[in-house]
Amino acid sequence: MQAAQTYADVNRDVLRPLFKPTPLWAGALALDLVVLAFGAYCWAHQLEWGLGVAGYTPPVFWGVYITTFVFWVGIGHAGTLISAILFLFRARWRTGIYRASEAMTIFAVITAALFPIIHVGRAWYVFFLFPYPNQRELWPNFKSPLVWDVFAINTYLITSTVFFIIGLIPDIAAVRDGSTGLIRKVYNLLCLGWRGTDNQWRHYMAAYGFFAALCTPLVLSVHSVVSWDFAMAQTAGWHSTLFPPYFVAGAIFSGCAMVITLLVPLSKIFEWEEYINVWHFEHLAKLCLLTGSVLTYSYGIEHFIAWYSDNPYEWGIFVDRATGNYSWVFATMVFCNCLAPLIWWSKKMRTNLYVLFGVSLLINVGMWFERYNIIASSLAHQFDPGAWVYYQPTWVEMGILAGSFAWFGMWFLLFVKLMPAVAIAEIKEAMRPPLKHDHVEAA
Amino acid sequence: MATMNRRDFFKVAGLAGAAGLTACDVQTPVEKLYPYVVQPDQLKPGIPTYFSTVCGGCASACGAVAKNVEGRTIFLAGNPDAPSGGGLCASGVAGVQDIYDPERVLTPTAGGSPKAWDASLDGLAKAIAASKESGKKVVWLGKYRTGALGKLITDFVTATGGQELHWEPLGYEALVKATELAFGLSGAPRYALDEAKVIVGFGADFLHTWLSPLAQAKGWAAARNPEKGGFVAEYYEIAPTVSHTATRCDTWWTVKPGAEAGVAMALAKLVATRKGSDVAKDYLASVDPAALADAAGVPLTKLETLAEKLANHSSIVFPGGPATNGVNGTHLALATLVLNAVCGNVGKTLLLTQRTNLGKVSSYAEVEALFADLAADKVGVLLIDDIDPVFSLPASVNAFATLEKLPNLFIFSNQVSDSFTGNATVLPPGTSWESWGDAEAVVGHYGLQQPTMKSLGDTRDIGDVLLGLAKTLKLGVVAPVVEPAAEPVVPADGAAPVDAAPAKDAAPVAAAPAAEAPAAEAPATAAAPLLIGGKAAVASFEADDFYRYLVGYWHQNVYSQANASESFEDWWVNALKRGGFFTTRVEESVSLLASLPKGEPGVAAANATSLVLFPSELLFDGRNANKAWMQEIPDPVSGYTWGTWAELSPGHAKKLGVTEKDSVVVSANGVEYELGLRISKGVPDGVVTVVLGNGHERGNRYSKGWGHNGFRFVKAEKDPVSGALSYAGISAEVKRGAQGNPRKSMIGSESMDHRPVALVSNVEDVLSGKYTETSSLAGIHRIPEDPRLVAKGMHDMFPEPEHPTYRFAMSINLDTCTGCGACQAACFSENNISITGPDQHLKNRYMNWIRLDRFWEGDGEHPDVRYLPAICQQCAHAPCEGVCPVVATYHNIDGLNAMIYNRCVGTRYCANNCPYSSRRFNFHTYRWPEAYQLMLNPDVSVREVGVMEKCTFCVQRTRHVKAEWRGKGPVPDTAWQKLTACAEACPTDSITFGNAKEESAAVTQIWKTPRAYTLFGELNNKPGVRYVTKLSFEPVIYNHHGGGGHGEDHGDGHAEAPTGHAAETTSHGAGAAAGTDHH
Repeated sequence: MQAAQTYADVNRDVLRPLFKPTPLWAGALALDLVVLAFGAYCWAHQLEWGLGVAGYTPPVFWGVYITTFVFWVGIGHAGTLISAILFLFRARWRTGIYRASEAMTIFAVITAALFPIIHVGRAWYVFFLFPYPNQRELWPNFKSPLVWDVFAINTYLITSTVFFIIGLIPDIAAVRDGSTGLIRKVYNLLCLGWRGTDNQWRHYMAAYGFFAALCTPLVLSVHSVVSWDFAMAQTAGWHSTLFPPYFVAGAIFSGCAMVITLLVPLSKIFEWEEYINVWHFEHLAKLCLLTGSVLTYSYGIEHFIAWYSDNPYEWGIFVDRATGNYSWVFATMVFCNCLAPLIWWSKKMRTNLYVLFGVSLLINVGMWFERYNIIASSLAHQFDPGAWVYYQPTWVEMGILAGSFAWFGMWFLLFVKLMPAVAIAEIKEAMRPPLKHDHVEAA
Repeated sequence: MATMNRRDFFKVAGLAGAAGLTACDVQTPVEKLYPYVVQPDQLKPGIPTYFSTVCGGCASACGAVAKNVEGRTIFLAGNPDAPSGGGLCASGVAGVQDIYDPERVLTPTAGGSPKAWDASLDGLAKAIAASKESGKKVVWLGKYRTGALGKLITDFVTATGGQELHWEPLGYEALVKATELAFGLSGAPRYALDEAKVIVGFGADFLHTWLSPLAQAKGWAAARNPEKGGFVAEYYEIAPTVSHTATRCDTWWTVKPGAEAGVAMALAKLVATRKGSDVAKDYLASVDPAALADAAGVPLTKLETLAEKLANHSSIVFPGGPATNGVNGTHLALATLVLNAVCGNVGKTLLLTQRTNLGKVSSYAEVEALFADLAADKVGVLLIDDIDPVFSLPASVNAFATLEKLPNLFIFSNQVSDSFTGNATVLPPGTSWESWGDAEAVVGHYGLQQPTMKSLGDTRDIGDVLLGLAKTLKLGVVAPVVEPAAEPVVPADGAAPVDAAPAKDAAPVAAAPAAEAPAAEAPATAAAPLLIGGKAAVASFEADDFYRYLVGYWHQNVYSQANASESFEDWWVNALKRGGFFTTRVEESVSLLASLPKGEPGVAAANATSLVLFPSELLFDGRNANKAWMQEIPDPVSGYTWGTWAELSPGHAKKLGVTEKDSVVVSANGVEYELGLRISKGVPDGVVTVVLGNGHERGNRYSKGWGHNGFRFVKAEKDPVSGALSYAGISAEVKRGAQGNPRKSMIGSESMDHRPVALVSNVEDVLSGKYTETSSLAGIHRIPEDPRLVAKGMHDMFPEPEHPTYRFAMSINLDTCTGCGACQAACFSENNISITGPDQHLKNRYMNWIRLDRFWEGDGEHPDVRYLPAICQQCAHAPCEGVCPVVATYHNIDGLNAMIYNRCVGTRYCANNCPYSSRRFNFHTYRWPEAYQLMLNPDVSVREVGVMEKCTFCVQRTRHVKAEWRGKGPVPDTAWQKLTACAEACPTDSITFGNAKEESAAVTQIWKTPRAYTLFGELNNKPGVRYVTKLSFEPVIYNHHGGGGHGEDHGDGHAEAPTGHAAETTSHGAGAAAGTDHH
C-alpha cells in the first residue's frame, strides 16, 4: 500500500472500497442474510407458538433474549465513548477508529432494541410501553425500570444517530465529490449540500462539540439504567447498588473488545493499516485492561458483600453460581473477562494483532456469559428452594441470538460499502496541512 | 397525460377495496344464541345453584356440594353438614373431570361402536336368560356398593341365581377379616383421631388414600391443634417406608417388610403389662416382645418408650395399608385391633358400632377363582361395575385374554378403561354427579346422592338398568310392594324440563356452602306433596325406576330410624338439602371376642431387594388417571407429574451410581420397567418402591401413555387368612437404566438449604406458653424496629397502603397441612387454570397457582417433612407491582394484587421479582378439550398466550360476597373464613381466609398467635399470607443463622438440637409487630 501523504491519498484510500462489491463482501453478506433469515424464522416460529418455544423454565422468566439485549446495549457503549468522550478529551488515537465504532454503536443499539420486542409475551402490544396519548388515559408505569429502559434506549439511539450523521456530513461530501450520476445526487442530498466553507466548518465544529457533550453523559446513563432492570429488583443476585458502575465498566469493556474484533479484519481487508493500526488497538486494549480490572474487582466485591451481608439468599446465589449448575457459565465468565485480558499487560502481546483479535473475541464471549450468569443463575436459585430449577436455552433462542449477530453484521457490511468507515475529514485534520511548495515539489 | 378524475379515483379505489376485503377472511361463523322461552324455576342466569350430594369417587362417600351454573356442574366442594365435615380431597374436587371427560363414554357401545340402549339391554337380557338355561353363572364383579344400589345388586344377582363379587384393588379384605375375627362384626372400624394423643401407624396411608381419608385428616387436624385442644398428638410410624401420610409422622422406625405384625403384638404385650390389663390375655400369652422386636429389627427399648406413652394416653393404632400388608396382612390388622383394645381405644377412638361400612367385600382369592371359572367357561354373563380388572389384577390372572374370550361381557362404566375388550358391551351410567344414589359409608351415616345436572350423554344408571332387566326377565317378587301415598307429581322418566335443571326435578337446592350468606329461598315447590311416584317397591323389582326405588328404600330403612316428627316428604326434602341423614355418635359397648386366633408375627422378607408398591396420592389405584388435574398436580413428596417413578434410598442409589437424572430398571415377577428415579430418605436400603396409578393402555387422552402399570409387578401371592392380594415384599431387582429419567420433579430442592422457609416450633414450648412473640420464631421474617423511631410514633418508613375496609388475608397452618393437593385441585377448578401437559412440565411450566413446596429436613427416625403451599402472598408492598411497565398488576383497595390480563404484555418482570415464585406465565396457548369448556367457571376469564397470571384470593368470590351483603351491614367473618376455593377444599381446615382489618376475624386472631409468621417478611413486602409453624417434638433451636435485614438480637441460652437439625433462624425485633398493626 502506498502511504497517504496528501489529502487526495486519504480520499483515495478511504473511498476505495465503496460501491464495489467484492466476492468476499458479497459472500459474507449472503452468508449473513442466510443466518438472518434463520433468525427471522425462529422469531416467526415463536410468534406463532408462543414464548414456550424458548427454554424458559419458571421461575427463570428471563433468559437468552435479555442476556443478548444487555450484551448489545453494552457493545453500543464503546462507539460513543470513543467518538464523544475521547473527542472531548482530545485523544488523538480516536481519529482513525471512531467512525467505525460509532457505526457499531448504532447498529448494536438497533439490534438491542429488537430484543425487548422479541422477549415480551405479546409482542403485538409492545406499544403499551410507550407513553402515547390515548382516550383511556392509560400511561405506562413510570416507576418501572423497564419504562426507564424505553426512554434510555430511545434517547441514546436518537442522540447517537444524530451525532453519527453530523460526523458523516463532510465525508459524505467527499464521497459525492468523487462520484457521478445518481450516486452523486443521493450523496449530495445526504450531505445537506456541504460545501466545506469556513462558515460551514465553524458551525459544524460547534454542533459536533455540542453533540459530543450531549452524548457523554448518555454513555454513562444508558447502561446504568439498563443495570437498574436488575438492581431495582428484589431478586437475590440482582439487588445490588454496585450494578450501575459495574455495568458501565462492563459495557465499555465489551464495546472496546468488539471494536477490536471488527476493526482488526477491517483494516486488513481494506488495507487501512495507515489509518487503523496497532497504535489504536493498543489504546483500546489498555482501555479494556482498565475496565476489565474494574469488572474483576466488581465480581470480587459482589461475592464479598454477599458473604459479608450474612444474607442467606444473597450468599446462596453466589455460592451456587460458582459451584452449582451454572458453574460452567461462571467459569467461562471469569476466564474470559478476568484472566484472558491479563495477557495484555505485556506490551508484546497487546501489539500482536492475532492476540488482540483472539482475546477480544474471548471478551465478547465472556461478556455475553456474564449477563447470562447474572440473569439465569439468579432466577434459577431464588429465595424459595422449592422453586429452584435449571434453565437451558433452546434452538429457537440460539437461532435468534445468531440472527442478532447477522442483523448487526448486515448493517455493518452495508455500512462499509455505502459510507466512509474512516473519518476522512478528521484524518486530514490530523495531517500536516498541504502547503503550496508541496505542490511545487510534486510538480 | 393521463390524469385521473375524481370519479375514476372512486371507482378504482372502490374496486380495489372490495377486492382486498374479499381476499381477507373476515367471515366469522354464525353462532346463534337460544334464549329460554320458559325460564326454568330454579335457574337464574349467572346465579349458581348448589346441590348437596355424595361424592362417588371412592368407598368413603364423603358429603359434597356441587355448584351448578346454568345447567352445568362446575365446582365440587365438601358438604359441611355431612359427617365428613366440609372439605373434599383432590380427586373428589376433580370429580367434575369425570363429567366432562373428553373421551367419556356417552352412549352404549359394543365392540367400540355405538349400540342403542334397547338393543344392548335386549342382548343382556337374552344373555342372562340363555346363561340360566345353560346352567352357567351370571356374575357381578364390581366396586364396593352400599345403600339402595348395593341392595338392588344383591337382590338382582340373587334372583338370577348368580354370584356377586365386590372387589377393589388395594381393598380392605384384610382389615374386614380382622374385624370379623376380633369383634365378630362385618365391615371395618372407624378411626376417630380427634382425641388421640398418640397415633401409631403400621403403613396405612390414612391421610390420603386409606379407608376414609377426609374424615381421618379432619381428625388428625383436630388432634394437632394445641391452641384449641391443649395437646398435640404424637405420631409414630412403624413401617418399612415413609408413606405420604407418614411424612407427617414425628418418629419413624423402619421395620423389615413382613414383620410388622410382630411389632404390634409386642407393643400390645408391653402395654398390657404396663396397664396390668387382661384384655386379650390368651392372645398375648405367648408373645415375647424382645424376640419379636428383634425379628422385626426395631429395638425393644424404643417399643418400651412407646408402650409407656400408649399406656398413659389416649391413642389410636392404624393397621398396615393394603399396599404394605403382604401375606400377613390380616394378622397385622388383627394385632393392631388387639393393641387398640389393650390401649382402651375401642369405643373411644376406634369406633365399631358406627363403623366403616364397605358393603360386601370380596377377597382377591374369590376374584382369582372367578377368573378360573371364566377361563373354564363356567360363566354365562359377566357384569363389571366400574372397576378395571385388566389394569389392576396381577399378570398371572391373565385378565385381558380371559375377558376377551367371553361371549357376554357387559361393563358399567362411563370412562374408558383397560378392561374395554373388543367384545365388551359398555353400558354407561351417569357419573355420580348426574344420577341418584345413596351411600352408607359409615353405619348410620346415610349420604344421599342426587343428580346435580342432567347427564351429558345418553346414559342410564345401573339401578335403572337392573330394574328394567328384572322386569324383562320377570324376576320374582320377593316382598310386597310399598304403595305410594299419593299420586306422582314427578314427570315421566327422563322428561326433565330443560337441559339446565337436574334430571327429574326432584332435586332441591341445598343451602349455599357459606351458611351465613343470605340463604337462597327454597323454591316454593320444594315441599310439593310427595316425591314418590309410581311404585317404590324396595324388596322387589317393581319400582318404576331407581329414583323411586331409592325413595322407597329410604322410606323403609332410613326414615324409620330417624324418628322424625315430620312427614316423610318433608323429611326427604330436608335430607336432600342436608345431603343425607346422619345419626349422632352413640355410646359403644363393643369388646374383643373372647377367643382370638393365634397371632402370627409374620416373617421378614428375605429378599435382597424388596419391592413395595404404593398408591399414588392423587391417582390412587389408577381410577383418577383420567382426570387431567390429578396428573397435573405434582405428587407432593416426589414432585413428579404425568408418570410412574421408582424410589430408592440415597445409599442404594449411590451404590448403583445413579442420580435423579437417571432411570432405573426395576424387574420383578418377570416384568421389567425402566422408570424415573426419585432418591428418598423415606426408603430404607434394600427396598425399592414404585408408585401405582399410571400405565393405562386404554383410556382417555390423560390417562393413556404415561408411565408403567405397577400392578404388573404383583405376584399373585395371597394372605391365607383373608385371601387378600399381597402387594408388598415382592422380590425385585434394580439396575441402572440407560435412557435417563423421563420425568422431572417439580420440587426444586430436597431441603430448605438452611433457609428459613417452612419453620417449626417445639410442641413443649408452644404448650407451656414459652413460645411467645419475643422468644420465638415469630419475628424471624419481621423487620426490626428502631426503638428511637417507635418512641416518636414511627413504626415503619414504608407503612402499609391505605385499606379502608378490607385487607384480605390468609393464614396457612403448616402443621395440619398434609400435602393432599385438594387446594390445588380446587384452585384449578375455580380459576380455569390451564392444563399444560407432560412436555411443558419438563420445563416446570405447571400452571398451578398453588405450588406445594416440600422440604425433607430430617433424617432417619425423624423425617421432618415440611409442606408449604406457596401462593401469591398478596403483599401490601408487592415487588411485582412496581416493576410492571404497563400497570397490568396493581394494588387494590382491598389489599389484593390485582391482575389486568388485557393490559399484560408479558415482560415477566413481575415474576422475576416475586420472592415466592408464585406467578405463572402462559408460554403457549394452552387449549382445553372441547368437553372441558363446559367445565369453565364463567366468573373467571381465561388467559391467553403471553399473559401472566396468579392467585387472586378468588377475587370473584370476594366480590360476590361483597355484592351479596351490600346494604345488609358488615359481612360477618364466617362468610369469609372458607371463602377461597383452597380454603373451602382443605380437608384439615389449614387455610383460613378473612379480613385482617377486623380485630375479631379468625384470620386476625391466627395472625396474632406466636406461631404465625410472614415468609420473607424481612423484604418488607408485607405479605397478606402468614404461615403457622409446623410442630415438632424435637428440640428446636431458635437461633439466628443469617438473613439479610434480620435483627441483631440472637436468641441466647438455647441448647443445640441433639439431632443436629437444620438451625432455625430468628431475630427479635424490639417487640416488633408486623403487618397491619403498624399504623
